Amino acid sequence: MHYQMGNSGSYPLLLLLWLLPLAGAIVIWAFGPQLKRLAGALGSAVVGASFVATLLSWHDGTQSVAGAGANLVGAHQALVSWLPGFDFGLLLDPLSLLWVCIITGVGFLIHVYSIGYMYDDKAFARFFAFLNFFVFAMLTLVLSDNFVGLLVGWGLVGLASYFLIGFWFEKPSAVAAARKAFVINVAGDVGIMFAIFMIVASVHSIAFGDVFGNVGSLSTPWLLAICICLFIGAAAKSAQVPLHTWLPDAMEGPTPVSALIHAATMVTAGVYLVARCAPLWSQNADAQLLVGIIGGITALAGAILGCAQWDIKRILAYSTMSQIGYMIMGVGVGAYEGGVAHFFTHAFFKAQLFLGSGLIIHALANEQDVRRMGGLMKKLPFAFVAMLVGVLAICGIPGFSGSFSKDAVIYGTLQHGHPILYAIGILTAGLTAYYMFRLLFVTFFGSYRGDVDPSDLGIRHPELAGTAHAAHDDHHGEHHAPAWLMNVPVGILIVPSIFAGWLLFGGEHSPWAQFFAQQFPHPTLPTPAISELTTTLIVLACVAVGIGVAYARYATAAAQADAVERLRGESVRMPALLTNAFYFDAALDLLFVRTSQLFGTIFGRLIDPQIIDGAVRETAFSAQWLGTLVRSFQTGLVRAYAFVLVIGVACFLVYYAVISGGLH
Amino acid sequence: MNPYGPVAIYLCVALAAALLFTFLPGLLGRAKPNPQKQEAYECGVEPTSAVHGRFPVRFYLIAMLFVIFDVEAASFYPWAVQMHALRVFGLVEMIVFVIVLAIGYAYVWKKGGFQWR
Amino acid sequence: MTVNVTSADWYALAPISIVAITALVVLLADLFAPKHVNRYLAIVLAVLGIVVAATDCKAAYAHDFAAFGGAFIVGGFSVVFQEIILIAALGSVVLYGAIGKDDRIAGAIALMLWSACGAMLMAGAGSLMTIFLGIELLSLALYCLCGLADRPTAREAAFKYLILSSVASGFMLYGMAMLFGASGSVALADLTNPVLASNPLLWIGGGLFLVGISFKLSLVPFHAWSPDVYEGAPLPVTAFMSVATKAGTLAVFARFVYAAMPSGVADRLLLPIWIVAGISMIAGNVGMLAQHDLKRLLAYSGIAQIGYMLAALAGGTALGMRYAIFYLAAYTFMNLGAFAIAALISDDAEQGSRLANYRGLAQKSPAAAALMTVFLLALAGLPPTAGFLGKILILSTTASAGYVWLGIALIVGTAISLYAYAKIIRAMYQRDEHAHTHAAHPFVPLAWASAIVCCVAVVVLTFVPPALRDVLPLVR
Repeated sequence: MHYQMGNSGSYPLLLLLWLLPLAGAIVIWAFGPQLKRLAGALGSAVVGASFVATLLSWHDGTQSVAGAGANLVGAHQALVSWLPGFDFGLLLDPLSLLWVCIITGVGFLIHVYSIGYMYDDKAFARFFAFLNFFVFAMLTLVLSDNFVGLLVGWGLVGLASYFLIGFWFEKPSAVAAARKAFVINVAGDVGIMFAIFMIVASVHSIAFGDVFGNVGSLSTPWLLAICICLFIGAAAKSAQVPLHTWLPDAMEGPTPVSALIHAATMVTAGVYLVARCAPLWSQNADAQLLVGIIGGITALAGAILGCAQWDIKRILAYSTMSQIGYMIMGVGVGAYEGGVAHFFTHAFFKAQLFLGSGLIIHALANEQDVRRMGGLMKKLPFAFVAMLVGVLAICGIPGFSGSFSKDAVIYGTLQHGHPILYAIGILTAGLTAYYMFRLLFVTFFGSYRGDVDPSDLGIRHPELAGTAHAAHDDHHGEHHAPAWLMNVPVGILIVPSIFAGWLLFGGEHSPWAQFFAQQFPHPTLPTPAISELTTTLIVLACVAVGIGVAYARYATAAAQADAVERLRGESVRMPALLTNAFYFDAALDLLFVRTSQLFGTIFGRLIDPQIIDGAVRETAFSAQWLGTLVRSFQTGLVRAYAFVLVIGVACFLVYYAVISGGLH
Repeated sequence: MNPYGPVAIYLCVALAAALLFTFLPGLLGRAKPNPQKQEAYECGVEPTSAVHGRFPVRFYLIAMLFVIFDVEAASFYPWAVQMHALRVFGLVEMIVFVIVLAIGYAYVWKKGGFQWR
Repeated sequence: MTVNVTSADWYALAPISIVAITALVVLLADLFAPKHVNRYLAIVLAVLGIVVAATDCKAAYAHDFAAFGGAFIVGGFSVVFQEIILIAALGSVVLYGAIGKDDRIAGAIALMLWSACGAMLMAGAGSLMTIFLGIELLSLALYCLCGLADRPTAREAAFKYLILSSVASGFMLYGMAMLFGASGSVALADLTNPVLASNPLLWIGGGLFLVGISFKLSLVPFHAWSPDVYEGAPLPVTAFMSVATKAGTLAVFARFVYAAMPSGVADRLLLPIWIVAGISMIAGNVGMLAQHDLKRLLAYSGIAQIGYMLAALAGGTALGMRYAIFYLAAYTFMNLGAFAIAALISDDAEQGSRLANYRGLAQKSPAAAALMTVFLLALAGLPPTAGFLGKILILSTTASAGYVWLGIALIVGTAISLYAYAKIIRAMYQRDEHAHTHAAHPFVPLAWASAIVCCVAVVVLTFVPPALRDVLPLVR
């Protein structure tokens, strides 16, 4: 089967939307000091323009439908023709369009928000240069029509993420977090690199179309190896167990960065990769099962760990990990529309949750510990509304966007024959409702606890509680950005947070299903014993239990009366397993750092025995080289080497003697 | 006859001659050593140290430089034999060879390669 | 038999002659010029000579001419290899200019140029005699160059190289004699006679010939000399040796594979080489893991890298040849670049080659650390460097030629090597309070220039496809 992806042609707008953010990054980087605050406006405008260009070039791509032979509608622009099988180009098909829209659309809102959030920062312009560079890198990743371009984008977003996590590099914790994220992501890059090696070795092309068209020619183990290597990259980037440990630490970066990179776009690259390579996965059930299981474990582990966090951003980080687990589970088992839809809705509500938490953090002078909040409903009503909508959406309350996509994923696992993953999905939905409402109740209900002594709240290291950074604090309160700069983007995000999911309404005839009709494989599936409606009801029941428990623990009048006492008790009694996040960090250290050292020592010695030791060199040679000349003969140094050589020659000769003897 | 036959004969004759002249004196001559006979006679001084003593590096350097000119002399012979056949081409080639050698010689001289320090 | 030598024959040797004469001029200039301009004069003359030779060499790219009755063949194939050798010579001459000792500059540069002559001769060698002449010219100069540092290890290296190389040359010469016995001719082209396929002399002789080649390429059972020699030799010499020797020998090997075998014997005759290449890819990369010296580490790296290049030639396809040359070019730049960084942070005792000295380099010199990172990434084969694309190309051609197991060895070897390269990168970006700064050499800007040029080349090569479409028809 020949796989043609998109209508090839000339799409200047496609090039424009790709290169604009790069141009923005360069200009802001070069003229940052002159631009001052304009840097923010310029950075936002560039991304906004890129969003408009996206819509226009999609229009172009669907207008010129030649129809004949194209498996997919969309725009394809060739860039560099290299060698046969090694062509580089840009591809805007429904899948990449979805990502590009989120990157530029949500990205634009977060840029605007950042103008307000970073208003007082010393390195204001640098921030926007990095942010624009990130957008460019992410666009490279999703627009690329081949694996190598994808890998280049993959590496570049890791680099941008490294810069932005470590943006406040005066903080050692931020630098450490940035380095950790980078190392784990490079490990993922290497996984993809090996996948490309194997793909090229078997298909002799890097283009998506060629590779997907030739899936049938790959042997099953080979295909499985390719899928596993690709998924190592996806798991590292999308914080899947056991490569997730960098994501909570990455919250050291500024909050808009957490919203854009570590919630809405970059961390979902793994979902994109699996969805993009759907033709590979759909040919190999083992690979599908592996991805589905990892996704399920991540969803559950993230939700459990989310229940044990006190830092508002870390709660959201674990929730992100858990939600991406859902997406990966969805695309893994083959429910591509559902998984991709969850990315779509999650981008809105999670960005909104992060931006809402940013409003709180900003208003409370960089306080991030929810135990020191409380009663903020009256103080920050707008932030409350924003967070409430986000929480309702993530919990899957009917009518809000999250309900449609999450149910699609959970039901999809059952449809594709994975009842255990189905159960995990439902359980995770209940846990999600619990920890998100816990966050909501502790933060906004009761009375304000910011003036309570931290140790009374069970905060062990009060000096570490607020991760306030020096540069931000210095200027705090001197001059503030207009409030609307931060409020308007959050307000706009409320709309899709509620309504984006309605695109999925109508099952197979929904606009969503129509849009992706040609994108993903659609095997005929048996109808499961439990209907979609029943699934929704079961999920709702679980969610209700989760909310009920959270209400009973944190929001009843009795709980609010002795909130301080209760929070301290909970903090002190928190199991070590949860506070240490299941000891994943320690295990990774043991597994990779220690074993690699051991490996290096053992095998290195084996190959390079260092027959010559320094002692011989230092003593005799400097004085009388003739002496050692002879001595080196006698002690067998050169002789040992010559011996190895002669052994090799003997092997060669035996081979040739046998071969030439066999000729007669 | 095998075209390599003469080569084999040549090798045998050379080997035989070398062996002959090495061992024949010992067989033919009468050996009656006495201390006076064992002394070094008209061909050097009494050795004052172990036979397998170490030589200064300089000795080898100069010996190697000598070998180069030895090779030069050796390569003159075939040219001299074929001089008329090779005509100007051979002459030019030999001149180039000598010039290269002369430059190296000058370099070694100027750098103090012949100084016995 | 008389051979009519025309001026065209001599013109074919012009690039080599230019380099050789440049070496003489460098020596003479050193004798008669005032002491304080010695270094400048030697470098300028050598660079000038190399550039002239390269320009002259380029002109022959589209030609196809067998000079001296087929003993030396000029064409796209030889030109590409000669240019790579000239680049290696240029880079090493500049490095020697940057960190070499004043009184040895001229001598060392002249020797490097002569050594380059030998390698260039190998690039165009069309007969067994020329091959041997080239190898010996290359090696003799290298023996001297290896001992050119005031360190016991340098002299040990020179001696060891001399002894072991002589042994290998002996095997090779013996093999050549048998090949001559089989075909009755020293011309490589005459080995293609189909009658020879059943002649045991061809098999045994070819085997011994390949032993010599394997030694020069330092493939695994024949590799033992190279780590010691690389470590002992002066840094610029190691840089030169790591590229020029391999380029010259690879040219000889490629010509042997593509143009000097009776049809139908390639699979069986060359099988040991492919096995040895596969072993080299794994063992070379494993050998890197325990190293504490950059030169030693790069020696092991080179063992593996040459394995990658040979993997491209397996199967003897036209694309394979192009990809091997592409990878060789990329390897030239990344290797020279890594040595340039080592040179620019080294002092007279060549501290730059000790890996401990790279700890905390990013603090002292972020630019040097960044450049080094690029070179190491390229050696490891990570994007966006030419090393990555080179490996991809090699994989595609190796697998399609039916040598899937070589491709797997390449992938496994690459996986192992990542540990070793990552170790250096991690060390460079570690904070080190005790990182000592030593006085930089006054001529270090030369090494900087070299490193930057190499870095640009390593990245740019990624985007410039190997457009050497004319190469293969001219191999014969």
